[in-house]
Amino acid sequence: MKQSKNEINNVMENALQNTSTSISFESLWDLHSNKNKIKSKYRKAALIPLIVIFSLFSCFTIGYAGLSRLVDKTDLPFVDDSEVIGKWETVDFVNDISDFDPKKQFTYDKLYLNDLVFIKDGEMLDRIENSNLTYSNSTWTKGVIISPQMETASKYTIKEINGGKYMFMEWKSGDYVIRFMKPNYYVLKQVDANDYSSYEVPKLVDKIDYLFSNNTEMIGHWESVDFIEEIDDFRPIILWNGDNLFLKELDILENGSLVIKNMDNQNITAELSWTGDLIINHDEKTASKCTIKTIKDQTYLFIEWKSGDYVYRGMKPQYYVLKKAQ
Amino acid sequence: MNIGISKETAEMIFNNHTAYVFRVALFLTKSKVMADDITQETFLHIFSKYHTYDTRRPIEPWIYKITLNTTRNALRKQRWLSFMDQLPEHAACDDTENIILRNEEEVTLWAAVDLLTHKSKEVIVLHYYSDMKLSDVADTLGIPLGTCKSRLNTALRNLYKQLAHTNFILGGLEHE
Repeated sequence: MKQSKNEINNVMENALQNTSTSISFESLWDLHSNKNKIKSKYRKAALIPLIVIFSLFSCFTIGYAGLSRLVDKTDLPFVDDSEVIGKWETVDFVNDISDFDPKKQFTYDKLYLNDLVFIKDGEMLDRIENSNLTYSNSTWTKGVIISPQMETASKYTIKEINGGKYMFMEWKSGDYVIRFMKPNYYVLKQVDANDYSSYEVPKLVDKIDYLFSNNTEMIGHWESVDFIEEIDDFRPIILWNGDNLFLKELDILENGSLVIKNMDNQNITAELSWTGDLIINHDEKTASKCTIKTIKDQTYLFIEWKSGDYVYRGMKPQYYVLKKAQ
Repeated sequence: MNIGISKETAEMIFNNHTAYVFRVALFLTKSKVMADDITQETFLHIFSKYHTYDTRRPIEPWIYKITLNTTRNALRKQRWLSFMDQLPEHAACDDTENIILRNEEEVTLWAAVDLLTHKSKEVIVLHYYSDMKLSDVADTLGIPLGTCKSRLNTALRNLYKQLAHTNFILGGLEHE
């Protein structure tokens, strides 16, 4: 890392060392002095109408942003497309279809979507963030991929380029839905045209047959405060996901049993138990490691949250953070 | 009561930091005209907001922060003008193409750095060019340290990927 640091620093130093601005201090100082004079002359007179305009604008934009989002028509009838059946892997992400060049990468950033599989009758599988291929919420009909969750219908176009079959799929992210921006395109290359109807998604299963081992630190009433990617991300004064947490409260009892309440104050019905520093979900066959930390005289419990992303996609679990009730 | 900056102090700050501000702006925008504009706006901001600067702390992170914010605003404005088809001709040209580098390796590395995204370039410029610690970079950019590390990793990984097609080997970077 050190060596690469020197190399990058050297090239930047060399590249930029002979460049200089044409701005002089005197011209800048004159501008600064004049700006101050103009500002003070108009400050009071402009203040009242500005406040009125700003208030009206704020009310309008807050109301508008809260109410408006783009929603596509998603109740489209299924129309078959034999050309799309099979597996497609992401090769690039472009602003426009015309930006794509198979010999030159347009985007070097790590891309969210890795693979898409189109199954007959409109079902789909997907692979995201280098996880496992698994069931997708999206469906397809000829020329369109429908996301019921996002309420978007993204058009896809298939093109033959240099003997390869490429798909250009509109990527309707929050930029499209909320900020009304033009969607970019994922470019995917066909890997095969196989029928994945009978594909079985592998399920991750943890070792769960542990004998009970007592841990007095775990016992007590815990209240949820945050949901984070890494334990080190947690800052008691800055909550990343403090609102609307699914897991609300946790009672860890002495005999290895526990009770979890969700945001609607309902008990989670899965068969759960705990031992040592693990919470076991016997239904999903997962064992979530718990870490206890004291930060500024307050005890916190960090629980690995092994959701479907862990079980079916094999993704790294995120963490619920709970505060011990006094 | 706010006390404005004196001409002497303003001149000293300008002389000490103008090259840095201009070069960072040039690196991020690739336009000399925009870099000049950003330099002017940055120093006007520094002069008018000098009373808010905590003089017990080093001035560099404060100036770097203003430079990056001004650059972001300028690029946003440029995108808007481009969208409205009102972009001045000179704003679109790449003034960094004329930069003279010492050898083929530097040309390759410079081109690879230039292809990075704006966010990656911000981290690169602060960590490598300004020689700031990652915790200070995170502070300047107003992001958590974890995000900052992740941005730097992404930037370096992308640099490595681009350089993998050439004969250039970037020291210290290993295969994934």
